[in-house]
Amino acid sequence: MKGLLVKEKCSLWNTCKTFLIIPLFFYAALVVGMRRKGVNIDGFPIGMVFMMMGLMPISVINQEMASRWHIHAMTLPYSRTQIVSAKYITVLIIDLLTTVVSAAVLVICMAAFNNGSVEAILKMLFGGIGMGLMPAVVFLPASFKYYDTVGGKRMIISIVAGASIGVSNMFIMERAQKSSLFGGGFVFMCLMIVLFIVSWILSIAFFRKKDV
Amino acid sequence: MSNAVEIRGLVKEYKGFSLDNVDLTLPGGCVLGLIGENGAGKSTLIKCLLGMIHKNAGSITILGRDADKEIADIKEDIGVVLDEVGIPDTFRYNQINEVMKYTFKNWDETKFGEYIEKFGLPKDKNFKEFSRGMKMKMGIAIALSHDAKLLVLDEATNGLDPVIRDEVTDIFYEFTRDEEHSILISSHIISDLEKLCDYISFIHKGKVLLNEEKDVLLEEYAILNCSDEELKDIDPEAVRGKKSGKYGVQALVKRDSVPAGMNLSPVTIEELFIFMIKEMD
Repeated sequence: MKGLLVKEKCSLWNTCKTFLIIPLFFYAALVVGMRRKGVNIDGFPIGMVFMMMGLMPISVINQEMASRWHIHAMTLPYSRTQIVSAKYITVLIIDLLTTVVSAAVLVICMAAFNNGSVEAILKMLFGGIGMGLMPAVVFLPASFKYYDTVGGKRMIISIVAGASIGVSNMFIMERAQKSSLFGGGFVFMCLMIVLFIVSWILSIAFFRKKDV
Repeated sequence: MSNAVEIRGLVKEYKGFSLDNVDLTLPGGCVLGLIGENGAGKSTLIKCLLGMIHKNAGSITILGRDADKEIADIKEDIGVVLDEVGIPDTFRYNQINEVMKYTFKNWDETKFGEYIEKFGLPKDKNFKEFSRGMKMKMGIAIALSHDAKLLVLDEATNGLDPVIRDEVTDIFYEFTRDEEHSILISSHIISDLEKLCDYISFIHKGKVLLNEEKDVLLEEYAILNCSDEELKDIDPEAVRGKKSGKYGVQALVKRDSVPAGMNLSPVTIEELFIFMIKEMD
């Protein structure tokens, strides 16, 4: 299993370095927003950061298809469950790291601009954690269902799901902002955690049946 | 020594093609060449062996262990090279080494480095910049660097130029010097297999036509050059295939069924295969 996680780390570093610029852009937007508005923390940039980071392990799958790693992995001493689980564990690690960095940015902003509250930060982070898990919930079962196919169904699923996730960010993060601490954002995070587990189990079930 | 691979009654059904009740044995310490034309079922058989596709029936034992129950663990002892080596395009030597180090319990970094040097592979280039020959060599280096007891090679020498193919064949030959090491190799380049293999298995339209020791086959069969009338005198059971031409008939026959004095010449594995396949069709 460790080898698969190391492979994910290397793939992410090699192919998704540009993704790391995106959080900087959104964090900058957050700082500007907080300074200018002086009232509320804007949830949209935080949601986008989590969402983009959550998409990274998914985008690596396309590279795996092109290089036929997805077939090579089946010749290595890993079970199908481990191959699936490596993806989900990578998503969890990235979501955790994004949470830590985002929390640090929000706390620094709060201190610097004397704006916001711990409660507001927590609400943003709850919503963000859910947003970070969402791409995996939607994409990974489809990826393992259509493991060795390119284009066609995979492309359609990617476009529809990608657009839905992108649009939902604004709606979800706004709700998270306006609700109570254990309201919209928290409920969304809990829902996503449950769906993440369901998605994990589904992906294992799909992949166990798959001929590669 | 026990068998390295034992396949019994293997069935895998697709629409329009099936592996049909395949039995195959690779004795430990030997090299088995799986010969068949494109689409004969060689890759399907190897994928079943490695658990990459699900079989409909049959049993597979690898290195004395039940593949159905222990395939992930068994792969610790198997080095696999498929016709395309699936290393991510952006990876370099260091990253490949790092991933494999955490993948195989017996990964030998020093040995891997030695193979990279021996094969003249660059350590500072992305895998996507490698030529096909270099990619195959990388696949072989990986397969040989974790103390595998069985090599499974599916069309691993295809697309390589003759010089590299010869180099690679020598490496496999060296691997089998250890009596615990076995190789299952599939190819439609029969000349490569003829050099390397102890056992030969012919596969055609999903069926194994024969699974026999190479030397026994070469001893048992011969090419008979004769006329149509002369051929009629020979037991039909002994004739495994024939080709008629302007100047008579060439037939693949069992040596011991041919009367003394007839014009027999030694057969190659390639001729044996072609005669048998044409006879089947």
